[in-house]
Amino acid sequence: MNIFATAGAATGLVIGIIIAVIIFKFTNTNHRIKTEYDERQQVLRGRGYMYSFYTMVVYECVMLVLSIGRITLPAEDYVLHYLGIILGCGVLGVYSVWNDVYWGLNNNRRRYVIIIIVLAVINLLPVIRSFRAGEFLKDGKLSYGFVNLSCLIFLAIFPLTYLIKKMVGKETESED
Amino acid sequence: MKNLKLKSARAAMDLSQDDLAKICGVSRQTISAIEKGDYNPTIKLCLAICKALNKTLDELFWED
Repeated sequence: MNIFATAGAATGLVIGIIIAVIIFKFTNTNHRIKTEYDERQQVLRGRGYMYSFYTMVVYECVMLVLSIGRITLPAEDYVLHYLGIILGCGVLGVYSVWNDVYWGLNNNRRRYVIIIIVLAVINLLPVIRSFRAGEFLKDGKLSYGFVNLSCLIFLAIFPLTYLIKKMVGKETESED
Repeated sequence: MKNLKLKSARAAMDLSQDDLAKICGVSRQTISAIEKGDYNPTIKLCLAICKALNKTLDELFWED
């Protein structure tokens, strides 16, 4: 990756953060950027962050060992780093959904669901394009297309976890 | 252990879990978890629940 590509990726990241801040401000009912959680949610989310942290540490250790052994995986470096982040975030998300602490007190769920659907569509388009053009693999390694695909999988695991939770009867129904 | 005292006090005031949760500033799932005995609330939340239901700490949270 040359300096221009790095600068482009960094710019994209900054723009992404700015958009995320605007989205949070728009989607939270009290128009605050920070999502508010009650005491039980804070405790459980803290535990979720811990599991997420350990997952990323283990993942990076595995990558480190493979790197020391000069074992190359069929994926570009940035894809592997991205997978580590997605894996960590995925653990936090699944744990949060499973323990009913995914939604904050000031989240407008409908707006969030719309944003998730929009994000899914945004990621689906490059995946279809890559699939058609056969660009998932570049020189035998997973490339950009796979980043979007992993993002789609990441977005899909939240409703999937919710459905599984409902199927096994773990869903906290109102006992009124 | 289930907190049936809390559940009956809430029902006596004709409040749903969601109503009580909104008054106390917590999620409905948190109220549900307290009633089911899955979560031990802090004294701050216990007091908020007691005030919302016009009960004392003993009446709602003391185990007989």
